[in-house]
This record gives sequence, structure tokens and C-alpha cells, in this order.
Amino acid sequence: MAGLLRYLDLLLVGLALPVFLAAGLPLAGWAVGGGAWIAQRGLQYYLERRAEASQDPRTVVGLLAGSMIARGWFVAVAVFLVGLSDNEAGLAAAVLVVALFTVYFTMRMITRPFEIEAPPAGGGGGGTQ
Amino acid sequence: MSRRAKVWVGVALGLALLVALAALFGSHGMNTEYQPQNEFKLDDWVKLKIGPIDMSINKAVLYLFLAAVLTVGTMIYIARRMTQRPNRVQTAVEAIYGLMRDNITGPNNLDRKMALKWFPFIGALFLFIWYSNLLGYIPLPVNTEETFNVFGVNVPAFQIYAATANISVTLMLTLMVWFSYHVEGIRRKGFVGYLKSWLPGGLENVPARFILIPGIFAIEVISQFVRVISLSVRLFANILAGHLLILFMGGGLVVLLGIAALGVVTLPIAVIFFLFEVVLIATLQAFIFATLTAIYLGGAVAESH
Repeated sequence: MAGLLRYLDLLLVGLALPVFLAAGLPLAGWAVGGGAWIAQRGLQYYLERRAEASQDPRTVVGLLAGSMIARGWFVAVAVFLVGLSDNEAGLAAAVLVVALFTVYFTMRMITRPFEIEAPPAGGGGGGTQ
Repeated sequence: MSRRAKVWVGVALGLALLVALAALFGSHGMNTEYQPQNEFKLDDWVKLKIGPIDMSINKAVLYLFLAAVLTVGTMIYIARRMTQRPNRVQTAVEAIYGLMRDNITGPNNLDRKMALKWFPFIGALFLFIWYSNLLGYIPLPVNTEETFNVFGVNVPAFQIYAATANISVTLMLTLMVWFSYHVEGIRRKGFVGYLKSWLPGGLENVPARFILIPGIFAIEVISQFVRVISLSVRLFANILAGHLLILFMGGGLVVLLGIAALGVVTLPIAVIFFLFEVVLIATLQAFIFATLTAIYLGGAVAESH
């Protein structure tokens, strides 16, 4: 369940296509917004795996912080470029990206407690009274 | 290449890109139409006036409602599923519970009897403010000032807004705390005894006590009222400032100045501010508010000043 929630934003990229088609919104907006979002999620996955594999805390922090800044920057540049060619498409892409971020960020906050390691058997229950 | 050299190369590349884009796209001039302060304007969604009292529903009310539902909902949900061997979610909740029990209402701030009595209030206050602060970083379609059209419906634009970025909300929370600790102090010591307890011990034996006692008492009275300002403004100003920084760096400055190229530099700063606010400020401000509540309650019933 937590795994599904974690990738709900990617599902939303697919679900946004019929909305774009039915509402007559520029498809370039969907392609660029959705494409940039999927690409940055792929980059996030790759960099998080690299950070997990590293033993150096500075490398881990550098990879994670750098990844967040670079991914935000990459998506913004993609939206900016499509907006330059077609203003409406740029607006549609921006709205799609913000909606995707809302879903991603909300799900991230919900699923975060599920990622915390539970204490080993026999050692729990200390906090409850 | 060393880490420092890599950082400098990154900064130089960013600036080079900024200059190149500025030369390419130039400036569209100052934008006078965009009013950033309107992001925090509260338009009435449902008008509700009872005599002189305005109870209209606006986005601040929605955020308060969401925070209240989340606080009550998640805690009841988790409390009903407590097991002897905690799962991951229970482990996370127990860590928060431990923080509230041992740090916020710990023996340094409240004695055991007071901690048992006031834990539900202080714990709920901490969680409510924490949820309110965190909700404030999720972009939601609540900006009725700007809309976008989908299927002929004008959908409000996405924006980040927090109930705690509104002084009315933090002031009401503060007043609840302020009256609570005064009432608790008066109940424990009586009205006169409570007022006397504001003065430091040993003043009765000081030669110039007839001047000192009224002077110190006046300062203490002022300090009690200043607590209303400090407690409410600290939370409100921190959350508002964070939202303003994210707003301006995330695009507000670019739109206001009409210089698209500036976004190359400001957007990464917005991401850094966003992370800083979500990871640190949201939790820290809720913690400070709840801890000060515990300290004030503990101080009100303490034997000596």
C-alpha cells in the first residue's frame, strides 16, 4: 500500500492525459510537464540509490541536497522552455507539475513513517503507557 | 577536482547562464499588476456574520479545519492500533510521543502532577501547530484571486498558505495558553498569592523595598502581557517569513521585476528555503510554542519565582 502511494504521482501523469484531451488543453504542456516530472523522478531514484550505497555522510548529504535542487531546476527550465514556444502550453505544464508535486509531497509525508525501521522483537512498547 | 572547486565551477556556470539568459530575454519591466500580498488575502468563500462577529469561511478556516481533522484523525487511528510490538508507524508516533513527554512536558518544565494534568492540552497543541505548519507547505488550489480554466470551471490557482501565517490564529492559540496558566496559578495560590509570586523572593528584607517592589511588579506585569505578543508573533512571523521567502524566490521576484533570467538563481534558493522550512522550522516552531506553554504553566504554579 505504502509502495503504491509513493508512486501515485506517476499514476497521475497518466491520468492527466485524458483530462488534457477532454479539456482541450495543449498536449505539449502535458508532454513536457509530465515528461520532465518522470525524468526527475528517475533521477531521484538513481541518486537516492547512490546515496544509500555511500558510506560517506558528506557524499550522502551532497547527493540528496544537490539532487533536490537540480531536479527542481530541471523541471522549471523544461516548463520555461515550453512556455517560450507556447504560453498556454507553459501554463498547462506548470499547473500539471504543481499538481504532481502536491500529490508527491503529500504522499511522501504520509508514507515517511512507514520507512522508519521498527525496533527488533522484544524491545518495543516502551513509549506506550 | 576538489569539492570546493566543484562548488565554484557550479556557481560560475550558474552566473554565466544567468548573464546569457538575461542578454537573450532581457527585461519586461516592472510588473505592477502582480500583488504578492494578495497571496495572504482572505477572501470570504461563505459569508457568515453573527451580529458584529464575522465568522465567514475563508482559506484560513479551511486550513484550520484540515489541521484539526488530521490531528484528531491520525492520533485516534494510531491509538486504536497500538500493539505490544510496534510497527513502523507506531514507532514513529512513539518517537513524537517521547519528545512531547520527555522534552516538552518533562520535569524541567512541569512537575509530574502538572505534566499528567496538562499533557493532553500541550500535546494536542504541539501536534495541531505542527500539522498546521506542515500543511502550509503543500501547494493546494485555494488562491481564488487567480484561477485557471478546466472544463469551463474556474479552478483556484495552487498556492502555499498556512493558518499559522495568520496573526489571528496564533493570537487565539496564545490567549488560550495565557488564560490557562493564569487560571492555574490563581487556583493553586489564590489571586493575591499568585500576584505575589511574580516577585523574586527576598525582596521583603531589602532596604529600598518600598520603591523596588512596585517597580519590579510593574516590570513583571508588562512581561506577562509581552508574552502574548512574543508567543503569538514568534510563530506567525517565522511561518509568514518562510512563506514569503519561498514565494519571492520561487517566482515572485522574477514576475515582479520582469526578469525571467533571474529564475536561474532564485529557484535553487527557493528549493533550499523550502527544505529548510519543512525539515526544521515547521517542527521547531511547534516545539517552541508547546515548550513555552509548558514553561509558563510550570512557572505559574512554582513555589518561588
